[in-house]
Amino acid sequence: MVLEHADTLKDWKREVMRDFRRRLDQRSRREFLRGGATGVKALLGLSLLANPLGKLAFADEPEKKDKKKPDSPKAVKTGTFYFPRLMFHVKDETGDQWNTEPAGDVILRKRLSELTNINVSQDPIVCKLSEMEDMVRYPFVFATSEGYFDLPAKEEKNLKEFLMRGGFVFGDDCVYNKTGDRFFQDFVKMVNKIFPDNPMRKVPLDHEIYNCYFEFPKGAPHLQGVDHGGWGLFEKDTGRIMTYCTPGDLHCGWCSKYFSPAMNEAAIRMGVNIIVYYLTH
Amino acid sequence: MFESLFKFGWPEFADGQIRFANAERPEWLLLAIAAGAGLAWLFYRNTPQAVPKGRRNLLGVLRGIAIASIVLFLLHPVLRLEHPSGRHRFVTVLADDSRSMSMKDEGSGSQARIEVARQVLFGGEGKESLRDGLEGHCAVKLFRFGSEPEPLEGPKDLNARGPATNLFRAMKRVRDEMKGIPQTAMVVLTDGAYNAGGAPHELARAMKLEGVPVFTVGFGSMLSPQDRAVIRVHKPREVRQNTEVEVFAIVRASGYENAFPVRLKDKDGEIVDEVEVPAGHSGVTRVKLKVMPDRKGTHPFTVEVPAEDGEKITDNNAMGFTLRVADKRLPVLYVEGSPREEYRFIRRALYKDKDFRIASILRTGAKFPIVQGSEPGDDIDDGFPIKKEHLFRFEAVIFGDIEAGYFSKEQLDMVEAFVKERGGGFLMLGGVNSLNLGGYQGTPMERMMPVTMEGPEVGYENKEMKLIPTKDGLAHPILHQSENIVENARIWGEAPVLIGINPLRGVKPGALLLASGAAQRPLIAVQDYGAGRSAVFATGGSWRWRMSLPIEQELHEKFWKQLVRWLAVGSKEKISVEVDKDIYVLGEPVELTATILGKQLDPVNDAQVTASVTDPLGNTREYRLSWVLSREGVYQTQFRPEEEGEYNLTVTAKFSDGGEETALTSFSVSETFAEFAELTQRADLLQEIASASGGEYFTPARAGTIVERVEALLKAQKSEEKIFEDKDLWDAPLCFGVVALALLAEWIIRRRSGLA
Repeated sequence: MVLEHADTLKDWKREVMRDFRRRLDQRSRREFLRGGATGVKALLGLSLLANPLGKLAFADEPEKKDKKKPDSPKAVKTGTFYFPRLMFHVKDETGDQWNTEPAGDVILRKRLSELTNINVSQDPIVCKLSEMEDMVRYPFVFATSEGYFDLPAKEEKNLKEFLMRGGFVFGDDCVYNKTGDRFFQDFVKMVNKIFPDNPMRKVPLDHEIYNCYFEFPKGAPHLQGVDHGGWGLFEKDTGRIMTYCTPGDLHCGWCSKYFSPAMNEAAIRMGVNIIVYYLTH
Repeated sequence: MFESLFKFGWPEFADGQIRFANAERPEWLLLAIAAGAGLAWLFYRNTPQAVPKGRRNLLGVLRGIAIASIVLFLLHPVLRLEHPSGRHRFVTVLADDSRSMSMKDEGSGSQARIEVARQVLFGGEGKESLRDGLEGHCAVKLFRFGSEPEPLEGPKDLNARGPATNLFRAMKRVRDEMKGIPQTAMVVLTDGAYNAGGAPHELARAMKLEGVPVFTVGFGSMLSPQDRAVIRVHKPREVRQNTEVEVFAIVRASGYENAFPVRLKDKDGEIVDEVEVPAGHSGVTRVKLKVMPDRKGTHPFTVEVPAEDGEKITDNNAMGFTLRVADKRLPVLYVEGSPREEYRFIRRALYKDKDFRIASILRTGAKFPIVQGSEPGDDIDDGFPIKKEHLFRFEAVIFGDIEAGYFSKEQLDMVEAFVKERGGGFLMLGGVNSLNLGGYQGTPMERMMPVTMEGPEVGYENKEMKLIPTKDGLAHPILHQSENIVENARIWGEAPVLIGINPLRGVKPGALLLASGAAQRPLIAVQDYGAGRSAVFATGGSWRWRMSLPIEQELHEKFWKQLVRWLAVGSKEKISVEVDKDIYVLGEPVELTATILGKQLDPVNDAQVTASVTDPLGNTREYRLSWVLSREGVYQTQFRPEEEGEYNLTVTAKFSDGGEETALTSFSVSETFAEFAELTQRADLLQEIASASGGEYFTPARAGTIVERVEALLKAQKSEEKIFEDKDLWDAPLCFGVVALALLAEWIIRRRSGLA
């Protein structure tokens, strides 16, 4: 879905919520008609992606560390974590744009707050690289699209400064036509352009980003598209990942309509890992 | 005539009193006199020849006089004189024999300061000798001093060869030596160029209480000649590897107005850093130089200002020092209630600097926390330490947004001991679960914190605000972003907003408010607590500084590093070793002090402590350090180096439980030019010493006046203290004359009377 008129935060918020409610309603009806327990859960809006479903067969299903079973949602929460969406210019007119599937963001925020004690703001936020003063309020931003994109010089400069100051961009390819890797390719190209002496590289499978909260021994779940694995830009003097990009459409996995519940759960947990990694490094 | 008969003059007899020193049992002597006189009379009563009665009586009287006189001599007649105690009181004279006294000042002709001092003290070229003048009234003890005082025999001993001046030590040692001996005054002849030791004016204050004024005689010009000099170098004794070290050099330019460079050179003479002092900077300037040692060990450096053409004194254009580089990080333990941006950015600021080791415990929704940066022995994988020996491995502890209920009572008590006894630092950050919202009321944290909290009903205000530094804050090392306080104020005035504050009620008496936040509520406050320090930073939003400023402006990183360093400054090491100086001169004694603490950082007095000293030739000698009875856990020894160059020391403490700890230190022995750092006479210091002791400052021309001052002091002391002197009278010519005359007259009369 494309929100064509979401140029302002107000529009974005309104349209996201409208779309999310509609999708939940549709989903609930389908599940209800199937008469399955899963549908009932979805209808009631309770833990659609909870553990019993997560145990369904799925190759990349993460296994929780025994000692890291989440506590109850009543765990103490502090600080305020925002999960904003990055607005940028996508060259391809067809396919999903920067603002695709906002419901995925909503679900991830909700699940993040259930699975961890991070105090997650449920407000949808949009950031523009051209507005640095706004960007610095949200050191973590999420970027996705299906198509090729480019950034004006000013935005490239701001992106570099944003990352150097400690900002973090999580990019996920929404996968054009279920097989493409346009966004991923451009993301890596863009980062390598602004950090020519420190190119992005594939993150090794034993990296903390794959085990800091949930265990992903095989790396980030790949839902569709070209399986490049997760790539990162590593800070030179500390080894910290400054920006991370996945080619496998994790974002669509956060929604509940495209993949199996187990895949959805895996995508959400990987999202949690990326955020926990960001907040601890 | 009188004196030739009575041995002493009439005035002495007039002032004095005739007494008998052996008059303890005078009755026996009187009896002996009476017996002698009786015998004489008895023998002359019946003479073999007829002698007229009158002549017999005369003979008896004469013999009686002789016998009585001899008996009187046996009584030891003395003349008791009462006079001031001057002959038994002392004046000590200390003459500066250091190299700075060899300088010739403009306007002093061709005379060096030491030559002027020689003339003042011993006389010459028509000048009276101060020593002789003083000896006319009291006993005088002469000393010369450089780094140590030594007895001074005569003018030849004053040759300005002492490589260093330690005025404090000289005064103190002489004062200690004279303990128990009545001392009227101390006279110090010096140019005041003291470059080592304690504060002599404080010692002078103590001497005033003892009634010993110090008269100072200042040598040298008060006007600076044309010269450039490195006066002093300030730097940390021990630094961490790969950490930028700031070295502050105090340089002075007198009579030169042009710009000049200040260079920091390594042992190979390579320039490590250089700063130019701009033109027109006459006087004393403080220059900051930077060096980042990348290897462990002791590294010698030199701060240097190039000599100008025609500069007369070039010995003072360089000053050497050593940096001991240890591969040691400041260990910090950070406990955070949940993942939040503040946690991430604080960790990042400290993690990037190799000066710190940040270990953190982050509570998540999982049963076990995320633990980062721990090392074997920290024992924090399951959460906050439960044993002192684990917590005491750290030097600073930060409580993030976490409530008191997370910790046991024992853990909170242990944190208090960590600060109070171990000398660690404690910081509490703001947040929705900390301070007043974290249930810390009634816990040790409430006692430790420098602030008073509101009740739990007052919530965290999640709003943007500026940090407003107080006057104290702008001068405090935590908020130190610039050398210049005005510039510092500007930097903080332009600093970006931070977000969120716990409204605090106020700052405790004795604590220091460094900055306020929204609605003038305290934002940063600090205080000392026991041996350590505590601080509150009532926000969880300082990360906004990092994100809002360009990457090259490291306000956030600098703030956090300074805050943690300040917190940990009092933390104790298990074994810490110090030598009293960095650079010694050959023959100067080195005082080595080690402080030994046990596992829980309590003083240990029964350790076996040895120092292994390796000299520049590679020879190693062992010295045993002895426990200083009056100081818990402190051990000392002293030795004299015999070679010039670098000395490395390894001090080992063996504990009774078999444990062992070692620490390293170093020093160098070389020629020092510090004596020439200050060319002018330190008249201000000498006046301060004199004034503090109740004495007076003199120029060399007026030094003779000291004799009058001493005389006046002695007179004043006379009324308080009477000294008696007994002078023998038995050997006075008159005494012998009386006996001889009596016996001679008796003998003549006896012969004339036909007696044997």
